Amino acid sequence: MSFGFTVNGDPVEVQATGTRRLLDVLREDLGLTGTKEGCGEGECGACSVLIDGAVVDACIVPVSQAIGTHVRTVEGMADDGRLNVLQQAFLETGGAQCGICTPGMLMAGDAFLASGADPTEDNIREAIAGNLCRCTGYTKIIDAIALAAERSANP
Amino acid sequence: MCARVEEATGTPFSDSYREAGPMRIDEQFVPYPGEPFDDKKYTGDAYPAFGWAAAVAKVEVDLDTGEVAVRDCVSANDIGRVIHPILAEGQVEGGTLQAIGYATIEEMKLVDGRYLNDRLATYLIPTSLDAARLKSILVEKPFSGVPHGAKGIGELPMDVGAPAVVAAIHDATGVWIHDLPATPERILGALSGGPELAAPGVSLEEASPRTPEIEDLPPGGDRMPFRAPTDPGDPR
Repeated sequence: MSFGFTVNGDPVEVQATGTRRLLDVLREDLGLTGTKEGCGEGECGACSVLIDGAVVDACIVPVSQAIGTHVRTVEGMADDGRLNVLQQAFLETGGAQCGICTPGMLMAGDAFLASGADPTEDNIREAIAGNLCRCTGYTKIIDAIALAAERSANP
Repeated sequence: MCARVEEATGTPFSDSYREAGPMRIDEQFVPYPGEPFDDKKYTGDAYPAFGWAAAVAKVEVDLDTGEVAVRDCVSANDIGRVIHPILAEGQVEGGTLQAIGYATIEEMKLVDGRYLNDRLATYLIPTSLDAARLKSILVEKPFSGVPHGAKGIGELPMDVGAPAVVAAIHDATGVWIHDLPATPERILGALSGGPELAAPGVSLEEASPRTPEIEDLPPGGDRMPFRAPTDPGDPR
């Protein structure tokens, strides 16, 4: 079957069975390998992408559910090779270590910034609670999202 | 350190702290005279530098449920010359949270050599909501025998977190937990003075039928995986 949606603003049309995981469509069919596979069962959040602005685990979303939606992945963040405010903040605060959780954390952080919620530590912890990180202890990821929120508010 | 203070004074650490305030213990380790590593013969001290670490944790223990929440944790690590302070702090914070998970919730359950919790749905690790804001103190004692004086860091913070959590649980409740993780079952068991639960990794009796002894097996021994050679002179 054929499924049409947009990825980072570009319209795409993919041929696949309807149950093919959105994660595999992104990584293998479209070559967007920025999204990582962690547990493959919707527990760890490494494969988080945004569908119409909502954070989802791409490993448990069949591509048939993406028809007509706007999918956003980590590849959509940098503009012409220039890191966006959240990526820059991750880089500066040390929010990335081994890097497997990082694309998912960036997507969760992206959705949090877009929500306009008050960037308190508790709110940020809540926003990334579905994304596991084994390296950082979360402290520097939270600092990164708070820094990006501050810079977005006071550019 | 808390345990040593308690041993010396015979009173809970928190009482000593209230009376005496912050205290300091200075100790120095003098390494034995080592032998430089020989790259050709592969002999000598391959790991001549020691890292040192200490951690303090603050916990809340729910006496009704036995649940432990680690509210704060500070970890100080002597890692030699710090090359990248931000990433070095990240290593300490991450190692400390792994240690807190190891101390409180992470338990590998084995039955007959197989993991019962072999996936992230069943083997839980701390999320951002379980974690406290971790603090790291980097102590720089460069070691002369390595490039830039940098020692190791990756595993070091993992060593001190669990003892700090267990000491804090003891400070809060008066009971020592002898097997990790300090789950609600172990905490409530210790508080009620009941028998200690089995160490982690040991099969639960009811979940694991007893492995048959050799004499229980049917004659012929055809269920034995290996057969000892009967004839030592056999050319095979």
